[in-house]
Amino acid sequence: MTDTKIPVTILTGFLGSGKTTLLNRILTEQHGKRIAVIENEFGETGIDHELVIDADEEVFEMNNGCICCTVRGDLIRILGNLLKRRDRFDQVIVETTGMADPGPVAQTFFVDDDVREHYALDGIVTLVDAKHVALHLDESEECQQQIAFADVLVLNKTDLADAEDVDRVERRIRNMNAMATLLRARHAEVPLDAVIDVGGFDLARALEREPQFLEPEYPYEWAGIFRLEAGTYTLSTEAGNDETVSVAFFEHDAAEGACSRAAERAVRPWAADHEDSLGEPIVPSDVVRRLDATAPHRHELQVPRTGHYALVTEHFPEELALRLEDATGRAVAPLASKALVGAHEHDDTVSSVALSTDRDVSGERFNLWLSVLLREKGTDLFRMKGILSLAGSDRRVVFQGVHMLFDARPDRPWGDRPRRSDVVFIGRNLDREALEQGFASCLC
Amino acid sequence: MSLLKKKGPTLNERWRVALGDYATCVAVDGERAVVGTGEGHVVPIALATGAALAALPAHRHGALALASSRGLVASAGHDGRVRLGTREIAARVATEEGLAFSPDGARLAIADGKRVLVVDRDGETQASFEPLASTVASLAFAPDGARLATAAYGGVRVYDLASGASRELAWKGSLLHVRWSPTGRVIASGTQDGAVHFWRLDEGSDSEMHGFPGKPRALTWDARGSSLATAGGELTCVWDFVKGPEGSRPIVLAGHGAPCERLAFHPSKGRLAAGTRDGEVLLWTPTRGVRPEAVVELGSEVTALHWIEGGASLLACVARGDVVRFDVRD
Repeated sequence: MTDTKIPVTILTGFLGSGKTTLLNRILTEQHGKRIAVIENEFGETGIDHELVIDADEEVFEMNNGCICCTVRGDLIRILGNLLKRRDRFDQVIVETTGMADPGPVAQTFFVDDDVREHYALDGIVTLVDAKHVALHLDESEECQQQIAFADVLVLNKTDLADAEDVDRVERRIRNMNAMATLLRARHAEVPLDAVIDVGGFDLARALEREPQFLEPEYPYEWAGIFRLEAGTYTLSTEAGNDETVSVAFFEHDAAEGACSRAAERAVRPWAADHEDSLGEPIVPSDVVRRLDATAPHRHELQVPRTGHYALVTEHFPEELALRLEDATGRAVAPLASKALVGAHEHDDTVSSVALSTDRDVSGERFNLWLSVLLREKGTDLFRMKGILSLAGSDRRVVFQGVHMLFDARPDRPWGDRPRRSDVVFIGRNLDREALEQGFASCLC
Repeated sequence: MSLLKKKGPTLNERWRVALGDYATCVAVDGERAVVGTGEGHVVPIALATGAALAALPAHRHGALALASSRGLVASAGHDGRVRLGTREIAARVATEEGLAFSPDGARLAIADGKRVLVVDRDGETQASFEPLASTVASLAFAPDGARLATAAYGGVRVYDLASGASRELAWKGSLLHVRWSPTGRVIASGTQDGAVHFWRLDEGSDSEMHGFPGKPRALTWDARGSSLATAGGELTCVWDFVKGPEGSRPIVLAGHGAPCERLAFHPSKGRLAAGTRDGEVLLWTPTRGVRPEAVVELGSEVTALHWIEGGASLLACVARGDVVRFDVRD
């Protein structure tokens, strides 16, 4: 009797983030499909749809109170009842309240026998109100969790917020969840195939979003490529949040992807000592300069010959009102610039840690490390995903987890593709160094 | 040709009705059964002939639970309604086990979300018990009708209907059933954690049977209350409540091809009927052997199984929508 499993999409997001708008769009555009909607009792507005079931968000602890094995009892009952009909549904959408913790919702799909047998969690879609989310993030743990758990983040209502604020929010939520697909939207207008059938919990598809969750992290936030004439420029700054700001300035090409290459090139200089600026002009160099940021300054910047240059800055330029002016005082805009995932910029307790290596991993040691990690930190680990190149195996091994629940399996052979291992953790109070060390201890 | 004569009981199909829709809940009452369907139809069927009688009002989005006593039918649906005869009561019943008539049929208990309502045959409220911490998953009257028990996340609660006083049998976990022993002295319940928990009410003690490979789906007492049959995952077993079950091993039954979804002990004999996920109906006499004495195939998950006519026949419903009566011959 086991047919293909019914895919389930979970819609989360704070009150006012646009969940109901998105839900109505899905229902309108997917009109050929039989969709059951499970809504919380305090739904924002009515939904005009054939089958809407009210849920009463009841969080159950399983296994005698293990906090990591909390599930939604109401969902177990409702999803069970939905199976009892002649024509099964093609899809189920669960809309949570704004204050819901997505953890128990997700875990329900892995813990309960019946739910696991008949349903497949497709993805968690979190809507984020571009204008108000900063406030919610500061005040609400649930808001952070909803972002952390997401497979898809829809940064909604971008038309109602300043472009700069939207950029800032995007960087912030990207920092918290480096794994999710991030979409910007007005009125929750996103392509449906970006939120439905995303395969967020499908191990066979775990790799599809590889590029997103493996953005390297740097100890600096911004890189820009400039075309500069030989001569003297001024780098002006206002006072910032920190006492100093480090910058790297060096000659660089301007071809496509130059910002990423410049960021990569700055890694070594950045790891070396930074030179405090004592009023000497900034010149192209492999030495990183540390500028005072307690007061406004105008630093002289000398360009020996006309060409392309890279400027890499510790903080985003707007934080210090940092700008490059030519001799006439006119601002020089970069040809290209890129916001980088700043490893140090973790004001939020929720963050992502991505680990990556081209060395093989010992399956035995990795298992041991992860089992200890999940036992000790499972509560704080929201989601994890990875692809491993295991020593002695010609197939890729993919794994994923939600809190302490963990699932791994061999995937297709490596073939000609370079073998590498990539792991990403999303959680609360992650200790990056400890994770790096733990992972390193598993390498062959 | 074998000259060996087959011993033991046989299951002989008397009639079969195809409802064409998932049979979600069934109640047996006197000479008829009432079947609720996934689309919400409520269909009485004459047990003697299998003839469908005039349908009762439907529940939009599906029927969830049914109870029937002395000709009065109570039905609950996804529409948040309970129908009792011609009366309608707003109540959010969450599971198939959320409606129960008292043994004398005078009262109906309704699990309305976290609240419990007791109404008389006219639908007039007799008692309304304050909300529990969690949605009621199952409720049942004690065999003497004087008490009512509910199961929910966090424990079982037993109400004395005369005084309104209640007694909490707390347990950290989600409890799925209320199964009074025929003596009214033990309540058993399956748990979401894959165990069967039971309370001895007189002694005030409780115990748990672990180790089921899946969530317990079916629990049934034999007529005397000396055995409890349980099924969870592939494991179907019978616990001895005379010498145990503490410190005893259950009788583990064999011969079923898939997990048992439904179990029903014969109303007087020690015979156990089971319906499986892949559509088998089986009969065992557990004290005589672990192999089934009879097996028939229905081809679709068994969703209900009841002994009828004093144990002379079995009524089975399957997911595909067939209602089948078997006469059991020894």
